[in-house]
Parts: sequence; structure tokens; C-alpha cells
Amino acid sequence: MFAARNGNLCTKDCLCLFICPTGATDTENGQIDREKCIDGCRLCVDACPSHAIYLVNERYPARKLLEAELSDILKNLLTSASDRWIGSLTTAKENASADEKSLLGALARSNRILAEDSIRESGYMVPEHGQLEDLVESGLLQKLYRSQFAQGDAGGIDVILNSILAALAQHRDAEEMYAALCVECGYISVNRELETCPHCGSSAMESLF
Amino acid sequence: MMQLMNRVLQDNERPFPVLSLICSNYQLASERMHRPNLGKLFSLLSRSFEIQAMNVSVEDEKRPVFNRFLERMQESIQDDLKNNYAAGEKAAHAVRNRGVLRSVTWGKKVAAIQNSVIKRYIKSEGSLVQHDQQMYVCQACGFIGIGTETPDVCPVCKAPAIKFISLS
Repeated sequence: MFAARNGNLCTKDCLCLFICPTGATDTENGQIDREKCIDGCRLCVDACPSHAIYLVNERYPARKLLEAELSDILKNLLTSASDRWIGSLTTAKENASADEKSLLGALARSNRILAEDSIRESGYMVPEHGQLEDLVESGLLQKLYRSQFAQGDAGGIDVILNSILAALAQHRDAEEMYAALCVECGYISVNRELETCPHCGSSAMESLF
Repeated sequence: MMQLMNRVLQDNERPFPVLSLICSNYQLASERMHRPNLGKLFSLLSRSFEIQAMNVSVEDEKRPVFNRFLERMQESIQDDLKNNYAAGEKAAHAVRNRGVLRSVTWGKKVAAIQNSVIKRYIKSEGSLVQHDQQMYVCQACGFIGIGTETPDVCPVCKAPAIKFISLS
């Protein structure tokens, strides 16, 4: 466990600086230096007068499985809210006035949040709880991705998923890597910089890191 | 396990939005667990599947015009309110799953607000938001509000005002 600071709550009284034995709480970016932080020490957490420091866990316990009946209902709610989300996005893309776009933007966000909540309650809350690993092992996620990019090299998805699973297995952050997304078609390219998307030819490639 | 994804695919429903949202949930969790690189990888996957979902949805059917879309949206919300939220509250009570009860309690209020916003938009013939006003959405629960100022806390989920994002 390591300490982290909520910058919105911090009142800069600096009691964490007084008490920290390693100087981990005194940094230029306002966040606590994880390298210097002592595992589970919590002196700064208890000293902070504004409750702005908390401990972050490295491991998270598994969740209880959801009752089948509830799972069905959440699936229905998820499906309708996600249809409203994607529907709002696609409708806004075509011939919408500024007022229409603003309404559709609000409806898209609101429905996206409803759908995300149903997914979280269905057990997809913490990435290392096993559902993602099962999904990747079943090959379903990769198959769906490949169904859209049959012509080109769709290997980017495997590199990304391997990097994610390796990080989850070790309860740590992922390594930095070069990856880019085509914002026109969703194609993922890794480890080599591309000017244009090999799938759709668009030059709207956005890179990560 | 895979219960949710199995069902979504068994029923031959649309998998891309669901994959996108699974990944955006994991993105949020990773950021909160202070794993920024993991968050970025999930964000990449989430956006990729979101774009695919939009492209597939366009191939599936001709995009409905705005007014027809709002009508369909209202039908969908009203169906959720009448059937799915009511069933969810009852079932969550029965098995005392307070997490799901929380989710459907908030969701029901947010869906009713969406319905009311659409109704008022149609009635006002598009001039729902006045010049000095803004439309904002609570990033925690999906609440949609319109006004000159945002409230201190979200009326649905009590999240602080910092969770509101403005749309205008």
C-alpha cells in the first residue's frame, strides 16, 4: 500500500511534510513519491488535517458473483442505455444543429454512464478480478476486433492485451509502449509510427504515450 | 465466468458498445488505482471499440433523422422505466443486493430526467437552454441539469459539483 494525495482536498497545511520519514510527500507535482513511500506506513494519512491523503492498495479481493436474475435485468438495462449512447453519437454526427448537438451530447454522456454502471454492477469493476482474463482467453474480444479488420494486420490487439494481462498478473502498472489509434475506423497500430491508417487510409492517427 | 458477455453475444446483440464500456470502466479503475499506463491502454481499446460500434451502427441501418431519433429514445426510456427498472428494484430487494438496488435507484431517476429533458426540448422547439444557461451532466450518475449555475452536489447521487461537466 502506498499513499496518494487528493489535490482537490489538500489545504497545504503541510503536516504530511512534517511527519514523513523519507520525504516522499514533498514533490514538485503534488503527488506522493511512490518510490520513497514506505509500504503501509500511513503516518501522513493520519496526520493530514483535511483528510486529503489515502492509501492505495496493490491487491483487490474478488467480488461475490451476481445473482442470475439480476444479471439478466442489468443486461437489458445495459443494452438499451448503450443503444441510446451510440444512437446519440451517430445522430449528432449527421446534420445536427448546435442546439441538437448539445442535447445529443448530454444524452450520449448520460446514457454512457448508465450503461457503464450496469456493467460495473455485473462484475466488471476491477480489471484483475478475472473477467477480462476469461474474455481474452476465450478469444472473443480478439475475434470481434479481427472481424472489423480482416484485410490488414490486426496483431496490435494482441500486443495491447498481452501488455495489460502481464501488468494485471503482477498487480502493477503497464510498461509504456508506442501505440496509435485511427479515430476514423478504430484500427490499433503498435510499435511503429504510421502516417496513415493501413486499414482505411485516414491520416487521423492518434498516438498514445 | 464471462456471464454478461456470454449473454450479450448469445442473444445476438451488439457487442462493440459493451466491449468499449468494459474497457472504459477498467480505464477508470486503473486511474483510481494509480496505474496510468494501464489506464491509457484501456482507453485505447475503449475508443477503438466505440468507433467500431458507431461504424457498425451506421452500416446496420440508415441513421434516423433527429426528431425520429428523439421519439425512439423516449420509447426506449419509457420501456426501461416501466419494465426493467421496476423489475430490477423488485429483484434487488428480494435478494438484498444493495449495490444493484443503488444502481437501479439512480438509473431510474436519471432515465426519468432524460425523458423530461427530451420532452421539454421538443416543447421549446429547440430553445431549451437560454443564453445565460448551460446544460451539464454528472459524471458519476448521468444526471442532466440545465441552469445558470450548477448545484453544490448532484441531486441524484450527491457527488460534489466537480463531477459536473458542461455541454455548452
